[in-house]
Amino acid sequence: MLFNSQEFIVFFIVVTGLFFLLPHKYRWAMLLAASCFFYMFFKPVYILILGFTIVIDYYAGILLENEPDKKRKKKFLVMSLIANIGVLAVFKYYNFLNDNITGIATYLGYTNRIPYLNILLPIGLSFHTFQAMSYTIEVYRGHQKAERHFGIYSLYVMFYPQLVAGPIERPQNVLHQFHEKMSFSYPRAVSGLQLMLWGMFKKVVIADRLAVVTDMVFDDPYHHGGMATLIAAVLFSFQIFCDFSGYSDIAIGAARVMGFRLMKNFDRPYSSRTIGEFWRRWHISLSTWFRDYLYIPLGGNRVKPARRQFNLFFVFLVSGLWHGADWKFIIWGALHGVYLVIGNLTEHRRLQIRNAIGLTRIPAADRLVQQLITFILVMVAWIFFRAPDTNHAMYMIKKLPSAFSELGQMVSTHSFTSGISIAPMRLLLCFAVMGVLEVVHMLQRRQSVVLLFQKQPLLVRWGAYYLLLFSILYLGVFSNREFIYFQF
Amino acid sequence: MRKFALRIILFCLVPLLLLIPLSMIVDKGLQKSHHFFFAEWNDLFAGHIQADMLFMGSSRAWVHFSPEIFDSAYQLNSYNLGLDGTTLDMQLERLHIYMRYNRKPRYIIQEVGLNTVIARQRELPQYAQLLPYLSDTAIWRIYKQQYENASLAERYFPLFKYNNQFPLIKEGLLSFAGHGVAATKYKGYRGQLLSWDNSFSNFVRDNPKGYALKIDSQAIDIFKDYLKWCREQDITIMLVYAPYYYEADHYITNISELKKLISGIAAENNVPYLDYTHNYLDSSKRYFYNSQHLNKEGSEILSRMVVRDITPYISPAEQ
Repeated sequence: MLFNSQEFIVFFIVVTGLFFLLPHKYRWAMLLAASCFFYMFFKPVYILILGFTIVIDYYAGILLENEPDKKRKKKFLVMSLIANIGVLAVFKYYNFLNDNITGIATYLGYTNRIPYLNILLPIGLSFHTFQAMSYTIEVYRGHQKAERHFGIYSLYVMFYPQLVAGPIERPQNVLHQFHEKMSFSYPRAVSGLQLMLWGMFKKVVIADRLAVVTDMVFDDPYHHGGMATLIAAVLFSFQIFCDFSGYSDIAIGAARVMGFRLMKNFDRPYSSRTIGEFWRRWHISLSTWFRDYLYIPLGGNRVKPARRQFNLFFVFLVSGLWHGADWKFIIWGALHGVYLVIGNLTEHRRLQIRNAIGLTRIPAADRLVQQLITFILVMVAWIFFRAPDTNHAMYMIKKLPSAFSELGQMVSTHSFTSGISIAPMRLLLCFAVMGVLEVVHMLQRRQSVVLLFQKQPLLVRWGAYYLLLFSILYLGVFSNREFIYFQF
Repeated sequence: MRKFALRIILFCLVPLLLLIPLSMIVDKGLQKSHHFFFAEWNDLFAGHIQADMLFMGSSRAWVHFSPEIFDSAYQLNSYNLGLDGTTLDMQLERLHIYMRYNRKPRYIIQEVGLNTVIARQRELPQYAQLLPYLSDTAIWRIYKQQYENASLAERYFPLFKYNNQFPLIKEGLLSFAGHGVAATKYKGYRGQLLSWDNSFSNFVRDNPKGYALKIDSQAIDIFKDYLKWCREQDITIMLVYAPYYYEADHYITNISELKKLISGIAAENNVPYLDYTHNYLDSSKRYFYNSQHLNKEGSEILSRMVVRDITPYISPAEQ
């Protein structure tokens, strides 16, 4: 079920209503049933895969806790991880690997006889697999007690708000909440609904509107000039942010109405001054997952500098692969890894340059330049992420510099619209909705918008709610477009 | 929780009290508008058509048959119900709605061609044409068939169906106040004051080898049933294959099969079939604005030809 569908509105009202009407002891069962329904709305049969990993990890957790022998404990953990990664490998990476084997075999003059699997990727597989893996790892590390209640454990993996696109939760943060008796709280419910409304606005009004333009250019880049390509790349950077953070906001908000606290997933990532900071602000639940379960086990900051840089690059390579079984995602991850390594290695030199040209004497300009450079780097990487394949992406990146000559031409001919193959009115609307987002982000920089909002009189608050609601209803793009991150 | 529920109800009620009447005003306004999306639907639902002769078909009917020419030639009231971008089944849906509000026509001139025997295509062009009538069961059924994203909210939530259609809301309000746009068609027809464009050369570039029309057996059955229904209703139906630019012949690889099929069905059902496809009009771009559509000059010549050729089938009292 999509958050931006009418079915979800009914689902949310019914489930939340039932949650508070039912006695505490039945709530987990109702939430689990609702989560199953939510997931099965996409493709019912895939719940079996989810069931398989739930059963494996539930028993793995108990075995890990009961086992005093460290070696055997490790063995149980490895078995559980293999089961989880195995599911990912079969459903997400098998055909990709097979395609590459075919490519190499053909190049060498052989025929690949490994069969191709005609299967669809279950929605949100990477998300719930990672969440399940974090449970067994935490139990193994002794940071989390094994959950003995099978229903509650299932709910930990399947809790509908974050089931298909995160945030990827940790058992320490969420599991105990399913045992707690949640009572209704007016301010909390209002705050949850506010977040849902804002998330829906970001998805339906901003992301899906920008998608109309970005789809046009990215799907057929050969019929667009450099300026249109540049605009599409900028718009896509905002589209994917609004799409994914919009989903996270709705997820966190829906859980909050019932009293559950999910972790923050985004924190104004495009205000980052470095790529490292960007990854502390973008998809936080995944970044911290990789930090805790891959980067630190590889040695973290305790290893030699060269090894540390390699580890960083490796983590981003894996992160790219996590996003999708396609070379374009691997390149996207690798690019971020390269950015990060170069950023770390040149940190001191860059500061020297900024000092030498006097940029650091004007902090606002210094910050702006760093933010702009970071944004451009991220934007170029997004081209790989969004383009249909690496060839299209390369073509678009090569085309970007021509945007400047096109701009020169526009200035000299005083014609700012004729050179762009995108309707001016459409573009204007896109920039208008992006402007709204940036105003909110600027306010957020100074203080919490929620707190600021709470201080306002009722009329102002309701006016703002209506403005958002009417924008969603009458300015929103309703084509039941899936959230981009569902594919992962 | 009660306070919360009450506030939510109040929060929802306040805008609904404004939106419901506003939605009704916009609907009513568009239902009497002369905007080219709605003009024929409005005439049809208001029972203003009451035609003796109907022109049916796709855009090739809409831009090809001038009721003014037919009305002046015969003692008849004719009306053009051509529906842009539609296959026969969709055209028949409109005919059945027409019959609910208007008297049965005595004659139907049915344009035939590429859209007659192919499967229904989704996404009616100018989908907004149906919006003021979504409360009508038949229109709602058509709307759902045409758009897979059609939702109940569009039918029931005030103004939601006009999402991103602000010019239409404006036209609805203006039309309600009696200041809507002026009519641009005469009895459903508008001669196109256009000259030859480059859509055909684009088509040739994209389809250098042309394509084969996918003739659909279900669509053939619908066509045959339609002819039978006309006979049962005592409606004289005449099939007209209007001219198309002659070079298009090379790019629809099974065009002769299609023509043979249509003429065969016409003969089988004893229905007059007037084929103008190899008429002198087809060789000059002067009469077309693209390969399938005649411009105003061409359509008026065609209308006069059809007037001449259907005389044997028109009752003497109406000549």
